[in-house]
Amino acid sequence: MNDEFYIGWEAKAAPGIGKTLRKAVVCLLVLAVLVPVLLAMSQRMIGVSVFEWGAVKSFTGVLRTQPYPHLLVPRPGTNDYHTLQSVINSPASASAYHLVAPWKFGLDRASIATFDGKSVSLKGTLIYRGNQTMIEVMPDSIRATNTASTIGLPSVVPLGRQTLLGEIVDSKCFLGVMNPGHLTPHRACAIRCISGGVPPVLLVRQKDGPAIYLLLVSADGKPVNKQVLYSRA
Amino acid sequence: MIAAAFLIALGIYLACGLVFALPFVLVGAKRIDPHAAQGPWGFRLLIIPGVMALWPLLLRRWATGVKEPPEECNAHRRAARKGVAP
Amino acid sequence: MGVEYVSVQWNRQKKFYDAVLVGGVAAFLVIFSVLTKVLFPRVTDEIMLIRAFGTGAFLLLHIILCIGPLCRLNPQFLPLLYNRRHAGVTCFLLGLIHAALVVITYHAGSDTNPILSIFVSSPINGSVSSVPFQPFGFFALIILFLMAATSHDFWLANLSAPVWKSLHMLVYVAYALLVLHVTFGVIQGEGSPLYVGTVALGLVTVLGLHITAARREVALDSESRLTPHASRPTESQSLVTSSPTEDEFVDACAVADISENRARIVCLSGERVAIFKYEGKISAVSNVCQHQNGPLGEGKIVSGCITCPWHGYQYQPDTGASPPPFVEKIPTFNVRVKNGRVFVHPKPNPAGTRAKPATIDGSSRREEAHSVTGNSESLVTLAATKK
Ligand code: HEM
Ligand code: FES
Repeated sequence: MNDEFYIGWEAKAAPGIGKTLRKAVVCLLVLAVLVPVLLAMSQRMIGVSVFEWGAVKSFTGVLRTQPYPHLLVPRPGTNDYHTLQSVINSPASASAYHLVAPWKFGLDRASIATFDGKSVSLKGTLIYRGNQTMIEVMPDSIRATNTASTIGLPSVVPLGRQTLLGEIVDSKCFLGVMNPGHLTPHRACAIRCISGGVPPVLLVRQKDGPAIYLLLVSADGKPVNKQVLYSRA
Repeated sequence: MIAAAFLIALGIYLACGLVFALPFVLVGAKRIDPHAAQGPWGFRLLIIPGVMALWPLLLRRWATGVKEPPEECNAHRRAARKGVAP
Repeated sequence: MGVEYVSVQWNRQKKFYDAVLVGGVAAFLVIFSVLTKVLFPRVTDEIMLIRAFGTGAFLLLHIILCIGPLCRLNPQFLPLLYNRRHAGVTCFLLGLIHAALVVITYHAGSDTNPILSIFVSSPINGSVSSVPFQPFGFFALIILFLMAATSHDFWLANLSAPVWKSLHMLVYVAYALLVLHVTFGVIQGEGSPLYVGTVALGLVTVLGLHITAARREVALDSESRLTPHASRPTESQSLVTSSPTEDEFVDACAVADISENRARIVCLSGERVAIFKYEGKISAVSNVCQHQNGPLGEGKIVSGCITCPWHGYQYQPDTGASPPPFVEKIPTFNVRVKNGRVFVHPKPNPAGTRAKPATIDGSSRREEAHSVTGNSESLVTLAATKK
């Protein structure tokens, strides 16, 4: 019978036990390498989205608070007041940047109501994913550039009733502040963000073709954060 | 709100534990366990989290003047103490 | 230990253990993070770290849980058990970093207290993906904290080993909570078969090893259970061994069943008893080590002392007391040897009480030789001659 016996406080283990121990240590180290490789490789949720954290830029455009705060920035060459109004009526000629506050908050609409429809400049950090763009606005950085000009609302074009199946995400995280920023692991954060005023977006994934992002609003064009949080399933 | 009440209670409990931990690691530990008399700083720091978690038990031992760690309780030790074989 | 407490009683094996532990954990974290960053350059670093630390802690917990049954199945794995508490504390620290990163990333900076948010930010709506998985992690972390916080020998002594062990049995609750945490959490998002398969394999391994080891334990116990009345000597033996039974000594085993410097374990008086053979003598002590209730009967006599297989605490076989300066004491049992058989009195002596070792006399030794050949008839004859 092998009568080897392990005593931890002795300087050296018996040869047979030492041999088993070395094998066990090798197995454990293999686990410590193999498991992270397998798990890291099999991640599926991480997409391509960007949060330019630390890189604050200046933006100018027309600020709108309805239905959620956003900034309309004319494409290059369409920079004056009259073209801006036309930009609003034909969105293709402007880029829309959703505006949110730092952390898990949307921009407080009451505090920027005076800028509604006006040309402004602001500082913030860019967030983008696909063709969607957003700015995390630095607090108190919004300045009116042309106090006189006020631009009217775009005309509403009804597209009829549609049934869409998708996931409600908080636009800020999903567009880039957090990647991955959707599904169950992110759910609690999304709920905090939407509760804090970040616009809720319905993300509709298509089999072929890019995902569709639909900003959720009420029938009369108001934010629906509360309804999204307190509706069931 | 149950969750909030639970967390507040937990916070108060741990805060009491922290307040208790300081005198305990300095004085109390050696009162209830002579082997802790000359424990180094590292030892005293290491037991603080546990003291924060289990302070009511330690407080009771210290307050009632217990001098030694308890003897464990298992079938053999019980039988030996009782003086009767089961 | 019976000497002054220190922070950690370092020795060469512990340093080796910790080097492997820290090296393994570091390798895990670095490989997971670097590979994630290479494969998915746009990943958010915090989430990458949340995942690295969470999975690292969970894997380490699997390893920790497997060490116990592995050692019961094969004592050669005991070195893994020796310093397991450092693995446990490491597991808690990894889980704590994971949780702290989660709170900062997913809960802080919102309209709700970040800790409270763990509980209130997952309203249930009836779908599987809405099961609040984060509170499971929270309670698992509390259990891991309690275990890590009470891992110092000070707590073993002051809670006493059985209470300490019950507290540490909560690790199974923590493990169950974490399986739920992962199943209702990340798996709802990361549904790849490899991910699910890895978690399932971990669960099967932990359960399988525990069931196998438990079965063996039960089988061994039922083999060795003795009671003062039920185990009357068989007819042939009662011929020669009637006197011990009269004063309640119980026939425990044959001297030849015990190998030199080792023990045989029997169940007596509601707990296991370890019967050691050494230097021509027999002594019996309670099988329960005072340190963490390790199985002394699976230990060995080393330089005259019973040495526990788990962490090497030592006891003198006749007194059940640790050699000075240590002060641990375990109950002893009175023993007799007659005709090659060991008889143990079922009443334990108070811990640290000397019980005279039984000498294996010449005749017993010869009987031993016979009974090794398995010839029970010759045993009886021999005993009868002696009488
Ligand atoms: C307060 C305590 C905890 C909270 C709030 C928490 C929260 C979370 C969250 C939000 C995720 C999803 C992360 C993501 O993929 O985006 C997660 C994943 C995970 N957690 Fe925890 N957790 C806690 C404690 C623990 C503990 C103590 C452990 C293990 C010891 C653990 C192990 C894991 C594992 C293995 C995952 C899956 C890793 C992955 O995301 O790939 N968690 N936890
Ligand atoms: S249980 Fe730790 S030495 Fe016996």
